[in-house]
Amino acid sequence: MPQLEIATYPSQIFWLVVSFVTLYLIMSRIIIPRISSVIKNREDEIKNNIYASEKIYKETKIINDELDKVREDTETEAREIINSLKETTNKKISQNYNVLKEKLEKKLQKNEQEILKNKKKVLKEINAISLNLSDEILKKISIKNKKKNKIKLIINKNLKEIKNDINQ
Amino acid sequence: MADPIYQFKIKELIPLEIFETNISYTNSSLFMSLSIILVSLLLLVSIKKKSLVPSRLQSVSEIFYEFIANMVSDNIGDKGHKFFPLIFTLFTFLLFGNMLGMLPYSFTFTSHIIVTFVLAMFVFLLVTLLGIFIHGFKFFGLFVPKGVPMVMLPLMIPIEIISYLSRPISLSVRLFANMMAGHTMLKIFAGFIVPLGIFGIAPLMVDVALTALEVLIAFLQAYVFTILTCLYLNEAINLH
Repeated sequence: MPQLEIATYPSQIFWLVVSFVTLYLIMSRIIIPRISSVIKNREDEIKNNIYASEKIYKETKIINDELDKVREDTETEAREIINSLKETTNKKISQNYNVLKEKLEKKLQKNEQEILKNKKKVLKEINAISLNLSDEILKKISIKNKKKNKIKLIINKNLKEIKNDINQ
Repeated sequence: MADPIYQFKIKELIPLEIFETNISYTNSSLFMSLSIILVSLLLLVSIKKKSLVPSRLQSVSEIFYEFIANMVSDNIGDKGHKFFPLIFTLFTFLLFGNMLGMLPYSFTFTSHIIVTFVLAMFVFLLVTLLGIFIHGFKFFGLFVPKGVPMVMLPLMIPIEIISYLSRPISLSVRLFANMMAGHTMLKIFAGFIVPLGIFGIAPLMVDVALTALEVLIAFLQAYVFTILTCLYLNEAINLH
């Protein structure tokens, strides 16, 4: 059995030690650092990517929040603008309304006064005109003076009544 | 029929002698050299590109690396990190030695008891010295099993000591015997093929099947040797 030939042992042990130590040195110095660096790089890359994605996610959140804030601000601003415009428009409307009202009232007063004036004027003239008219009528139908006075009294009375009616 | 033991014969290739000791470069030495050259080349070439997304070739080294890294971290823990290169070397050396032996007309250096014994003895001494170095006298508490009645201790302690001391023998014989038996069996069946003529197809089929089995065993024994080394190291470092 060749395994039991003790004469071959020194050579086998020697070359085993040489081979094993050589392989150990190659592995520990060259190969293992290379493989572990590749694997570590990959893990780092994955970690970095995860970190970067988290960062981007956070940034997006911040931007979203900002956007929401800006939107809210704009909405409130727009509301304010609308409200202030409403107010100013209302003010203007009421102002104009008041001005117009005043003008109208003034005009109305003026017109009323004029009407009153005209009315007085008419009432003043109505006596003379109606008397003249009755005179003329009486002349034409030639009624006696006595009766004339009676008619005048009736006309005056009627006139008074008319005047009262108008004044009322 | 060829002698099935002849394949284990040590042949001197380059005669060499130092201090009146014969350390000739033999076929065994040649296959040790081939193993380390092949495994180094394979791993070096496959990790050459260092790409972020590994190619198939690069996956080879990464799978080797992660296989051993998991083995070390599962069995020894964080403190086993220092021994990772040693375990890695041990596994690749044995695996390639065993696998190269599967090639026809090749030589299997792990089928020699002296080789496996030296490796096992190295592991044994490393573990023992490490245990004493780390834990001092407490390391011998390893021989006192927990939860055993005091009466049993005089019986149990010698058994534990014997089983501890027989570790290098069991470790080396397991690997050597497996490799030698497998190769001998292959050779015996191969020796029947030609003499049997047309019926030689039967031992040929057996040989094909056995070759598959031997490839499995070549991997398995390298794995067993390595994982037992891990377990022993774990005992020495963490002292259950």
